[in-house]
Amino acid sequence: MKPMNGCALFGVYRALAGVRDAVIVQHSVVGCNWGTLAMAQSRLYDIRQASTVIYEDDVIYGGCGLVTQALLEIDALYPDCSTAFIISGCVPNMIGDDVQAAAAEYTGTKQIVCVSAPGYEGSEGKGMERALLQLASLCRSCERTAAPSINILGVTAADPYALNDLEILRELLASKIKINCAVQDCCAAELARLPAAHLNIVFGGSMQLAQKLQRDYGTPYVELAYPYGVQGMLDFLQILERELPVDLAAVRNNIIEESKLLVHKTAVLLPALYGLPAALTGSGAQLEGMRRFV
Amino acid sequence: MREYYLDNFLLGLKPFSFWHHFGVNGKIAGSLAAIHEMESAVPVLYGPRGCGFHYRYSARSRNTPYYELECADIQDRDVVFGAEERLCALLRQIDAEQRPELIFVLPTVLSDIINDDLAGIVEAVHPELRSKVVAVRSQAFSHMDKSNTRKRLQERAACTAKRAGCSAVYPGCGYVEVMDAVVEQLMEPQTVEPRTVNLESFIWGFGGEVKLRRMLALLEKIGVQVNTLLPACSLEQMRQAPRAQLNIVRRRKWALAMQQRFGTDFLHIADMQEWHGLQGIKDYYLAIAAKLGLQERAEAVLAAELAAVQPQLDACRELFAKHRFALISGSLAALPEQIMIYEQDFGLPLGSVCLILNPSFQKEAGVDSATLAKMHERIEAAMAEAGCKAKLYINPAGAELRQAVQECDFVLAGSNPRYNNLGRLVLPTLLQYSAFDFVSFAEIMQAMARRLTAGQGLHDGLLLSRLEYDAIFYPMTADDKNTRASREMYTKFWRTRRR
Repeated sequence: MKPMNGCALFGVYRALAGVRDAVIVQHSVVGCNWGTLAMAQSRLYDIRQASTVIYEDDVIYGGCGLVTQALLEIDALYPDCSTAFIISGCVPNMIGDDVQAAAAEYTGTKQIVCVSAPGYEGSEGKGMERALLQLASLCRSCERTAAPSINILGVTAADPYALNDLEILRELLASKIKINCAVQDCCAAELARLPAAHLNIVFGGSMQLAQKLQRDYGTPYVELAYPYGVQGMLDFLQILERELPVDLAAVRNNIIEESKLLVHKTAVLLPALYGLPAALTGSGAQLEGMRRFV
Repeated sequence: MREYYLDNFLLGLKPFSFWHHFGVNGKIAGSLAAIHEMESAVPVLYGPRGCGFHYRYSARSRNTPYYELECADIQDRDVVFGAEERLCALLRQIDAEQRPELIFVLPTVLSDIINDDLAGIVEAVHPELRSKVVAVRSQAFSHMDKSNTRKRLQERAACTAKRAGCSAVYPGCGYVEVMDAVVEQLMEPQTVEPRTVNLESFIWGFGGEVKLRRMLALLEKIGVQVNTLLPACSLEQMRQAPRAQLNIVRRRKWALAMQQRFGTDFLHIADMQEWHGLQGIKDYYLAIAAKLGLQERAEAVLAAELAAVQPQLDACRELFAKHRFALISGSLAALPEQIMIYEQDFGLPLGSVCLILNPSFQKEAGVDSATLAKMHERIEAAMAEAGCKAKLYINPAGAELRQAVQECDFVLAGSNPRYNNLGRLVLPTLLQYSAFDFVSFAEIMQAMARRLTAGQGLHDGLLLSRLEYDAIFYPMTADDKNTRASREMYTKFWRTRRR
């Protein structure tokens, strides 16, 4: 097969890379770290990942010592990171490294989350679901926010324009709805307060996390297509109005008025796109919304 | 120069140099680099889909992803029971649908651990297929260790001759693994044709295609026939590779294997920098000619070739001689050659030579104090031999660096923007474009001359010049604590690891 997406480890990485104050330690061979760097391209100025560089000696004698060493190093090297995710890849899972046990001996200041992610165990989507579900372990019981608020689940920092889109969404909803936590760009403290939101918005693969948050904290969720385009955004806003006690009429009207001007400027060219066969490629979170937009 | 600029730009858009602060790619990248050169070959990665996906994107396939890469997509069940059936099904599918001449089955760390007998599987399924299938044998786990690069540094430092050569053979380099498999499984004994060479087609650096074409043209003038470019050839050409009297290679191990199996002599170009410059170009062709009994003809051809570009070289030298240049380099190993080429070949007077070294270089490179001292001595020796009157600065910073630069008219440096703010125009060194013919060398000099004349270089008005970048680890700034930490983690977990 010609793979169009990665393995479970890649999915775990993608899901966790949006946590701004976390370091990701990959307990794996060095190539996995290299491969995931391709997904860090939106944040080349802030590389917070490392590999334990499992090598042949470790395959024979075990690699838990590397995990222990990594945990010793990260306290001094990453003082601004509150959390460390230890992702174990194919090799340590094959040889039976007990990463949880090594992590249990950690006496430092960071919270440690271990995610088993051998690539052979499944697709990138499966890895993402697994990692997002583990984020629930960071949640703490808390009061709902006073004002209506949402969490955004399923988008990753590696998704095209994910961070830009989030900024625009925050601006758009600013006076009406607070974005409590967006997993593609958040900190550990925000993850702890996931249960404070009134509603979870699920774009693509994060259903298991949403279901767990509903079970454990009673937070409802809706699965939506990514709000591309005018109609996509209007649909999105309509659903928010349905689920939350907010009136977004002003926001909707503003979008409609602005879009008229934009469309007028491109009216000459748009018909040339009608009926044009197109192939779409995109992330799990964005693809359906893209399809609807097109 | 067009191909050089295109390569430099397109490959520069992939931040691989930056990623090397934090790790290396697995050896499979090298394997795919070799296979991608071949005329009709499909690689099959015997591993999970993540390896296949990431190498499709990141393997060094010039400017494009490696679209043709196939992956066995090894899954949970296969780790326990083996994936022979899955692999055979894939090989049959590729053979039927794509009909390549060659299919290479590449091992991964996963297959190395479960120890599936790839050679045996391939042998069993082979009779059903039209394609020739090659099972590549794993020589090291995951990626090469550091012993070869360290050996090379030591040999180069210790060598008093012009060229150190290199005894390192790089087992575990993915490229070498594939080439070894080509020698062992595809080549067949041939009657040797005198005055013929095989030329390794890969690892000649930016602008490689033009470089090779010009190399072939010059060899032809000398009377050398090129039997084939390896591995950029067909299966039949690989079979007939032992027809050549001589191999000209960048990687030594497969050449040794060919020598052992077929008696083919080889010339190893271990380090392109050692052959850079006008004398280096001459020595390169004379070394080939000496092995083929064509010295006299080669001398005459080279003299004529050099004479043909002499007016361009002289014009450039005349221009360069009017100015003084500050050379800023981060490479302790390459600086001696840089000094020689600028002073002797370019006729470019150096006023200051500034070596900006990683303070942890000795620890990270694993060199002992004696080797480090010899590396420094090589710089001084090069300056003496070249008649370089420059003042040598080691790790100048602040006012000292500014003074070193301000004593000159132009700066020759890499792309670290911190040098843009020293009050002098920064010209690119262009030395990463190593030439193997006089026309190309003249083009490099002329490119520099044009930039100098037009005042085209890096300066303090550029956007990047507004930030204070780290002296060593561009694009890190002083504030990039996490990024530095990630680099340090790789240093602790690999660079300074035992082997």
